[in-house]
Amino acid sequence: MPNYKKRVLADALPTNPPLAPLTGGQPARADRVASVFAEQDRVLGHGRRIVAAGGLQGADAFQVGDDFPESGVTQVHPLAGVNRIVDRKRITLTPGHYLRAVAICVPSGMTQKLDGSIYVAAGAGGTIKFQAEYDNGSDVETVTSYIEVAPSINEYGAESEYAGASFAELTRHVVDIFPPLAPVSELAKWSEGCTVDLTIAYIGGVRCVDLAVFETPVAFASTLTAAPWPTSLYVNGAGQAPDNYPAKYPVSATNKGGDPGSGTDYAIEVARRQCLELGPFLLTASAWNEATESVASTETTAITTNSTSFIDLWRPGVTAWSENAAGWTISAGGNAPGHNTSGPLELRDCDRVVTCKVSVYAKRESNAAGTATVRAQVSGYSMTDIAIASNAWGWYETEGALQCGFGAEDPTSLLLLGKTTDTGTTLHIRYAQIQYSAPPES
Amino acid sequence: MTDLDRNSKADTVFLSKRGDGGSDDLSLDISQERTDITFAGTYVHESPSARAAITYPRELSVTFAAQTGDAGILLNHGNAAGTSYTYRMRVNAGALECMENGTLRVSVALPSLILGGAQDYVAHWSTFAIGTSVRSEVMVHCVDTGVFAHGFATHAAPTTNASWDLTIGGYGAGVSAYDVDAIDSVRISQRFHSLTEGREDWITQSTKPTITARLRNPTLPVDTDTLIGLEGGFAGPAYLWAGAASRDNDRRLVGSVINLRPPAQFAISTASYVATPQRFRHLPGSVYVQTREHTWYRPVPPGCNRVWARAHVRLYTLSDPIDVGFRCYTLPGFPYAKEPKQVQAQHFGSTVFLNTSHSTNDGAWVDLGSVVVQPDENGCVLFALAHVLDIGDPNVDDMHVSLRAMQVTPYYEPSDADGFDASP
Repeated sequence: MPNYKKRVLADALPTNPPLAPLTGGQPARADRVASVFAEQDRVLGHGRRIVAAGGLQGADAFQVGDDFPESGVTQVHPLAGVNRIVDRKRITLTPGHYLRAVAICVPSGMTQKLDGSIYVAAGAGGTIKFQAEYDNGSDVETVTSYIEVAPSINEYGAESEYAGASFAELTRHVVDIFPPLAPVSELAKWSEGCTVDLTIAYIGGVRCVDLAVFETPVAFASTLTAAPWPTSLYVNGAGQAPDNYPAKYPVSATNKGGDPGSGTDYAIEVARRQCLELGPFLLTASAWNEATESVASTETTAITTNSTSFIDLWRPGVTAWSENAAGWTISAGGNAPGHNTSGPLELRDCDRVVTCKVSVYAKRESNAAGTATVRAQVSGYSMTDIAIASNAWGWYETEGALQCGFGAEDPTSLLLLGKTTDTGTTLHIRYAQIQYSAPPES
Repeated sequence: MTDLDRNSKADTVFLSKRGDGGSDDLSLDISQERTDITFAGTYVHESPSARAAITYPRELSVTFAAQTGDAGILLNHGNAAGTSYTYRMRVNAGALECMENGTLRVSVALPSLILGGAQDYVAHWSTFAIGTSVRSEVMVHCVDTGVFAHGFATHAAPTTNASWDLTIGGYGAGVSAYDVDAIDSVRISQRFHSLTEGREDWITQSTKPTITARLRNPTLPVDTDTLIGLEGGFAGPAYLWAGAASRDNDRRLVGSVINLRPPAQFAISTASYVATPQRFRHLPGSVYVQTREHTWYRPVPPGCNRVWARAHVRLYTLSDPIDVGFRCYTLPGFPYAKEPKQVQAQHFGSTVFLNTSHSTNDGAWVDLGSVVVQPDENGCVLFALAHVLDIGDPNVDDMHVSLRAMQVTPYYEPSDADGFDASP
C-alpha cells in the first residue's frame, strides 16, 4: 500500500506572503520557508475555469414550446427520454479540479411519445444530463449527473406569459460531476493528467436560460514517488498546511525521510510545473440554436459552409477579421503569459500572446479529395489554421500562440472563419474550444 | 564595434541588416553572437555553419524587395551541392516557399505583388513541436500596402547536419540566388517566435494599454538541472524564486466568465415586449430592461473582485434612429423561485448610449466597463445585459436591438496600486 499525501483545495486562496524575508542577508527561518510551500498549495484555489456554456445563448425563444401535444403525425415536443446533445467538450483537466455544473431554468415543458404513428402527450418535465468520461491515460471512469427541472403547471406545460414571468419563476441548480474521490487512492487516480470528454444533453422539456460547466478545486492527492507535483503537498494529516516546517534547519534540498513535500529541490520543481502547466480555458462555443433547433433533433445542427474563401462561421456575411466585428474574447490569456513567448525581451512588455490548443468538433463532406479549413483569428496577423480532412465527425485541433493582450481591460475579438477547397466540399462545425497549453520548449 | 540590434534576442544565432555599406552589411552579425560571415559579391555565406543547423524550435525572418517575376533562394542551410538542406526559403512563381529536407512545407503567395515596381516584404517562418510533429507558421507582410498573408502546416521534424553551409542568396556558391541586393535583413533564431512577435519585431511595435488590474509577469520556469535548489547550493535563491513564482502564478487559471456569440441574430423591439412579456422585466428602481436571454449565472474565481464587460450590438431601424442605452449589471440577492428571499442589490458599470442604425453585418462594440461582483454561496454571480429604449420617441417602435457578442472577464483590482496585497 503506497503512502499518499493529500491537500484539500477548496477555499484555498493565495495570500501573497512577503518575499523580503527570503532575500539575501536575512536569517534562514523555517516559518518563512514554510510560507512558500503553503503558498504553492494555494495557487490551485483560483480554478473556476468554465469549460462549457449553454442555455439560450442569446436566443429569443425556447426549443420547447406551448403547443397542443395531441398533434397527430407531427412531432411538436421532444420525445420523452431521448437525449438531445447540445454541447461536447474535450478538456485537459487542471490538477485537483473536477467538473461542476450550474444552471438557471424556468419550468419545463411538455414531452411526447408515439402511440402507433400518432404523437401524444407524455407529461411535462425536463432534465439536463452531464456525462463526463474521465481518462487518466490508464483508467477511464464515466460519470453521469443530472439536473432535474420541475415541470410547468400551465396547460400543455406552457410558459407563464405574464410580464417578467421568466424571472419570477427562475430557479437555480448545482450538480457535481465528480469521479470517485474516496478513498485517497481513488482521489490520487484522478488528481492529475486527466482529460475529460464531456457531453451535455437535454432530455424532455428543459427550458434552460443559462448553464455553465466549470472546474472546481476539490483536493489533490499523490504518492510520494510521483513527485514533483503540481502543488507542493505541504500538508498535515488533515490535508492542510502544518503548523511547523518539518525540518529544524530549512536548508535541505529534500526533506529528511524522503517526503518531497518540502526542501529546495521540490519548491523549484513545483513552481516550474505551475508556471508552465496552469492557464485559462479561453473559449467554449456551441452552434446550438435554442430558438430554431427542431424538437426531433438528437444533436446540434451544424453550421455549414462551402465557401472557397474564408467567412465568419458564426456570421457568414462577414468575410474578414476586423476589430470592429463581433467576436469572442481571449483576453484572459494575459493572465498566463509564457516566459519564452511573452517575456520582456520577446514582446518588450508591449503585448502578450497565449499558447493554446484550438479544437473544433467538425467534419467535411466531400465525394472527392476536397478539404476544409477552420481559422481562429484574433488580429490582422495573429491566427492559426486547422485542416478538416475527414468525412467523420471528430475533434480537429492544433496548437498556436495567439495575441491576447494584457487581460480583461485589453479587449480582443476572435473569429472562427471557415472555407473549403472547392464548392463541392462542405465544412460542418458543431462545437469549438480554445484552452491554454504549455508554451513550446526552447 | 558592432552594435547590438533591438531584434537581437537571447535565442538569436545570426542577425544582419543592410546599412549604408550595401549588401556586404549582410555579412556583419549584429546579434550577440557577433560572428561575421563572408560576403562573396552575389551571396553571403558561412561554411560550415553549425550555429545555423537548427531543426526546431526555430525562427527565420527575411526582409526583401520583390516584384512579379523575381525568384530565387533567399536563405539556405544545406550542403554545397544543394541536394540536402535543413531549411530553404525561396521566392518561386510569386510565392514564398518554405522547405525542409527537400519537402515543401508551406507556400504563401506574396500579397500585393506587382510588375514594374518592387515592394518591400517581411517573411517570418517559425516552428515548434507538437508531440512528435512540427508546426510551421508563416507570415508574409507587404510593407508598402500593409497586407498580410499566412500559411500553416503540421509536418514531420526536419533533420540537419552541422557541416552544412549557411547561404544568404542561393545555396553553395550562390547558385539559384535571389538578388542579394534586394535582401535587406536576415535573422536566424533557435526559439519559436509567435506571429505577434514577428509583427512586433519587424513591422510595428504595439503600445501597452493602461491597465488597472493586477498584472502578473511571465515566470521563468527554472528546473533543478540548473543546479539551483540542489544539495550543495544556496537554499535562499530557490525559496525566494519559488515564492515569487507563486505570487506571479496565482491567477493563471482565471478565464472569462461570459464569452458568447449567439448562433443567429435575435432582435428585440417594443413589439417583443408585447408578444413575449415574460422575457422582460425592469430592473428594480430602474428604467433599464433585463432580458431573459441576456441573463447569465456564472462562477467567478474567488480571487477576483471585478469584471470587465463589453458587448457587440447591432441597432437597426427603418426610420430615424433613437437613443438606446446599455448597462451590464450584477445582481446579488436575486430572488430565485422556491428559495428564501435575500437582500437584493445591483451593481453596474458604464452606461453607454448609441443612436445609429447599422447595416446587416455591422454593429458596434459598447464598452460596459468595470462591474463589482459579489459571488453567492455557489461562488456564482447573476449577470445581465440590460437596455433601455427612448420610449418617448415617436420612432421607438421601429428600433431593433440585437446582441452579437458578450464578453465578461474577471480580474482583480488592488486597493494598493504598488503592493501585492492579499486577495479579498
